[in-house]
Amino acid sequence: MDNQMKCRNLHGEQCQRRLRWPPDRKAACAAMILGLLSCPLLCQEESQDLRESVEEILALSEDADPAAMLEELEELKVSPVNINSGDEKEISRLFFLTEFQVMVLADHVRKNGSVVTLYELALLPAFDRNTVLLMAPYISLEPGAPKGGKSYGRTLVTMTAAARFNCAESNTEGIRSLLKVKHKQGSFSIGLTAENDPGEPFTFKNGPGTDFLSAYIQYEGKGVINRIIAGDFSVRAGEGLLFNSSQWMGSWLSSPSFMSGRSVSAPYTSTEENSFFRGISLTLGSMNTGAVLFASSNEIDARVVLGEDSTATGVSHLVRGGIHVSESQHEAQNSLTETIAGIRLIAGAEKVRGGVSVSSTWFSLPFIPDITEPQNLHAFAGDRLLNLAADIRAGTGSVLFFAEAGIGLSGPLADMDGSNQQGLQADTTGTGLPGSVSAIGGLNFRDSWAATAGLRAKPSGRVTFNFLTRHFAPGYHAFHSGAFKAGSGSGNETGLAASLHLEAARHLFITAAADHYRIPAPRYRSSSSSSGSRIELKGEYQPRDDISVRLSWTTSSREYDAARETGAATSVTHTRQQLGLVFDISPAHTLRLTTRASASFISPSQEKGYLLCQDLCYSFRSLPLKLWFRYALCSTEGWDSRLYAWENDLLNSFSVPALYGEMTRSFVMLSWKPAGRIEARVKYGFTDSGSNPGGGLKQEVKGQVRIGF
Amino acid sequence: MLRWNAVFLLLVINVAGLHAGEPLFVPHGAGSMGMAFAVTATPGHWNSFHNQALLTANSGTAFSASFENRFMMSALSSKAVSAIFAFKQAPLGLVVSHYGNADYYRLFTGAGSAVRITDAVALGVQVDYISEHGIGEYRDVSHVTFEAGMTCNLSSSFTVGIHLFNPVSPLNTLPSSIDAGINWKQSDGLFLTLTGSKVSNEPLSVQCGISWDLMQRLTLRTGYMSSPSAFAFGIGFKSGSLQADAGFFINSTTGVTSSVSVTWTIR
Repeated sequence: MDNQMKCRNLHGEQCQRRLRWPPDRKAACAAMILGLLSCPLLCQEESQDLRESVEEILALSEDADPAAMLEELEELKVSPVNINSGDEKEISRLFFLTEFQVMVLADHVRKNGSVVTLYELALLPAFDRNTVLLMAPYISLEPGAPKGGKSYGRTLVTMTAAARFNCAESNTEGIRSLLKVKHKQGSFSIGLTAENDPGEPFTFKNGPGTDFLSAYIQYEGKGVINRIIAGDFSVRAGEGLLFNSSQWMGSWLSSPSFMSGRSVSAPYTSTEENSFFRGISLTLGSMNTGAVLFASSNEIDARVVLGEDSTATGVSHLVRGGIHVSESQHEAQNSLTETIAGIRLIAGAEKVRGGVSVSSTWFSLPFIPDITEPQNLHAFAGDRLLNLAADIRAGTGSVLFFAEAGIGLSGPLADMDGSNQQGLQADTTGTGLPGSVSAIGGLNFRDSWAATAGLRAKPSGRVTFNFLTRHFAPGYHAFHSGAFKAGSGSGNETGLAASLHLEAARHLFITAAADHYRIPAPRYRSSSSSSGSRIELKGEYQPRDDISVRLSWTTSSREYDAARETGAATSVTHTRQQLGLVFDISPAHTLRLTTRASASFISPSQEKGYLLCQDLCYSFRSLPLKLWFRYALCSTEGWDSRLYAWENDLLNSFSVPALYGEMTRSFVMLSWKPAGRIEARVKYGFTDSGSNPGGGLKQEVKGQVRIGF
Repeated sequence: MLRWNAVFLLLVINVAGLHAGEPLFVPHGAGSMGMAFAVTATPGHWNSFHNQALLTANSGTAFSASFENRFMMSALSSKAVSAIFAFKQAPLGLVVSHYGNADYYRLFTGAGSAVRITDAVALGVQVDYISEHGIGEYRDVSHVTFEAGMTCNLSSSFTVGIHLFNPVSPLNTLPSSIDAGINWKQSDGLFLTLTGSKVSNEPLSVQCGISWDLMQRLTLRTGYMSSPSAFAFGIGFKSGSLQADAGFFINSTTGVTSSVSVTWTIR
């Protein structure tokens, strides 16, 4: 097929070819096509950029929990998106693509035929190399399936069991079991997720058997009713000020775009036990014009505050993690009911699209934060929350603009003037804080709003520039938000971020990104206003498809309280610098070797650390087996200089262990795939951290079977 | 030759004999600010006063005025006017800037020129006179110094530049600075620049900038400076022989520094 004809954008303009084409184009095209079609990418994994970003996010924030984020991606890997179907619904399963990107891609396939190579996608408007690399592990370039014929549906069952063995007793021992079932037939699909963490008993007494059980049934229509979901679901709207189930994008500084993914209501399949909705969701209309209505009532974990008569009078904060082993964890389990009703209206055309979102939240118990702690001065208080937001996206392929503004109004416990607040912590300091919100009740518009805006510009095929500015007032609250933000929580941050992606030369790609932000109100470990910054520089040299070298340097700094026993705390800036090198090569068609080295440096503690890691991935020719192996050696001077190393793991799972102190980490994993719809994996991991406090020998064994019918 | 040596010696003696304050050269040009002053190798009117070798890239005589307001404080505002006369043999650049208010101000005057050594290499030099005025018991001080720059066109799209300010710092107490940068003309309307700047007693600063021409009249600029850390944004509009630019620096601690400039080019 003539590649020249295929490469046209929506305006019929021929795309400029600035990507690296070998001199002999015909031979090279044939080689690439053969290489891509005749053998699936044997060790196709997430983009290295995504892996590094996950490691950096975890290194910077101990609160970060990428589980939901990575499980969403794993779902796509299990069932790749068929790009060449030309179906917007199918392509929109790539949740990190915007509506514009989905439409461009679907339109391109319909007008120009099937996509043959990934390089073709990078030439489309609103796409670039980094976006395509992000998509690559989750898409299929097979021709669109023919319509018609009987279909008995498709069922996928995944059973996983994982066990850890430590030399010292700890509550991480035990077996983690996970069952995922998904069936799709015609317009209907159902799903079930059941999980037990280590130490949690399997019992039907006062429970469904497993500690966590999630299910949904979904209908996808073709008319006005686009989708109905009954059961567990997630919502993504606008830029994530109110709802964003893909919270990973909130911290990824060098992402291909700062724009949030497509607005959608989707079935929930993650094992994260608190950040989802349980009820019913109705999606009407199309991507350009429509509405999403939903209602949810879900029990979540929270720390209960007991009154003098030992009855629950409120909750102090939510509890994340989903582990229910100890007594306090059992007390927090499902102790709070969150009821939400919301509506989202969408309208727009090809180049402009806007939406309005409204939601109202009620809690079965009021939030009663301890406002004697500085970080709780603006904490949510009360038992109800009203959120409103409006968002807009506009532009052509070369410049895309996006913005969202929202407000969160928390209802007082009782009266509007803050009186009669039963159970509320008294302000014993007498400061009053008349201008603040939430913690002492009352409505305060000035301190309860948030806004984010940015643009994505692609002035040429080799340059992509992203910019984002944001403001989250200290009193802004949204419990399911996931907008671009350096810190945790939904409010208390003002910042600017920018990134540049550049094809500097043939085979050489450079990414530079910076983020500066200010935290105006006290937060955890900082009792006054503070500021922080992040800078990332990455370079990748990829002379061939089977060899690449990546060098990255990141620095992040943030102000924290200096350790003092008396008096007002002064602040000290903590800086973490990390240098990383990854060398990836496939010397043979069935073999892939990855060598990585990382070093970290922390100031002012002057802690240093390094990590050396060797990975091997081998696919057997005559047997349906694939083998992964890793040996990692780490030496750091403490926990602050820890280094993270992404590991290949079971399907629908991920592993990014933190390595610190004097530690070695090894694992071997074997995959057996006797048929296209049956796959079994077993993984054995071994960690020796003998000199670390509480360390020693730790082993883990994981097994998984996936069967497709 | 003897004459030039005498002039140079005279300048050095004058510089050595003057009392010293600690003034700094306030960079001007809203277009330059929009790119975080990463303009050591980027042609432009005000850029020619950041690296005098760029004077050779000006094709016509031009006059410009620039106003900068630091941190939204009028007492820290700076006004400047400049002229470039594009003489065939060696262009001439003149700049005068005023920084401060009636009680304290610093007057900077510079005259520079440049020559093209080869088709690819240009050299420029500028002599500066800096006068500082204070009220009350603060005495007035004056300085004479010079700065020099060089550019080299590595290819049709790559240009490198280097600039020195006050290289005779051992003879006076003025800070010295050295800037080195590269300019990449990615396409007719897209420039990417990178500059490293080191001022004495200050940390190294790395600046990068992008300039994107839209519709041949509108220019969008953005940049980043590492020390002090700040984002820069700018916009320019060209109509006939007139060009107007606006630029902003945003620093999370000190706030916003804004600048506007208007340039009239006579062809």
